[in-house]
Amino acid sequence: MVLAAQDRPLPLYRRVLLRLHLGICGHCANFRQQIDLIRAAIRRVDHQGRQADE
Amino acid sequence: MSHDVLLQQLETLRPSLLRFAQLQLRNPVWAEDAVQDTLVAVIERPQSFAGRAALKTWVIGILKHKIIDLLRKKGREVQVEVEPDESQDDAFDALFAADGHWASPPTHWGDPDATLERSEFFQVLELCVEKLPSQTGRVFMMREWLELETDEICKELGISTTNCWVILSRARMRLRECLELNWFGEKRVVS
Repeated sequence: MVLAAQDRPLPLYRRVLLRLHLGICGHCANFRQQIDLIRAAIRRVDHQGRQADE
Repeated sequence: MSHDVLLQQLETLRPSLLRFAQLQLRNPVWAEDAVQDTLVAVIERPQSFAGRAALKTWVIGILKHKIIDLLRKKGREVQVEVEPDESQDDAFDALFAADGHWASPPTHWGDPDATLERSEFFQVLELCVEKLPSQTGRVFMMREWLELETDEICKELGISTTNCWVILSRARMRLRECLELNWFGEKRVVS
């Protein structure tokens, strides 16, 4: 569901279930954090530069 | 910014532009075309900039538009490579043991902001994206870098919505694995 939520809106009940689960499952919360980081990183890639650019 | 200074700055930017275009398009000829079109557009419509960073952001914005135009024209021409037989379910199921628990629990990757401050991290990330199979990389970048909605992606590439979602999930899982192996390493920090 974490992966699905990246690309399409989940129905409300699934969002609730997911949130409840992430609240108690540390491993899944880590997974979610990892997937979120990947998205955040790609969003920032334009502002990064090899030394030569800056 | 004088014309000469602008040209100089664009030359400095060119390698990055090519890199991004190639990561997205997976076709060196198209990438070169997209970058050329971008540079021409920039030179034809000079703007004033507070600094290099602002120029870079603007130029990359134009690059993305040029790439989207290219994908709209050529999207269906891209070959769908034959990927090793790996369904989304197999790849996902492999993460879990028979009892339903994580086979190898995802580690805590630490403070995301700290990670995003490191330029070496971005080098590793780019390599990981580069390593994705062509179609997977293309779809992933259209979603995350061009920030297109999935139905637009499916339309341009001529693939089904479900297939799109499968490809995106696969991309994320591979990137996750690649980053785990090449950046975050064996740290088993419990959050």
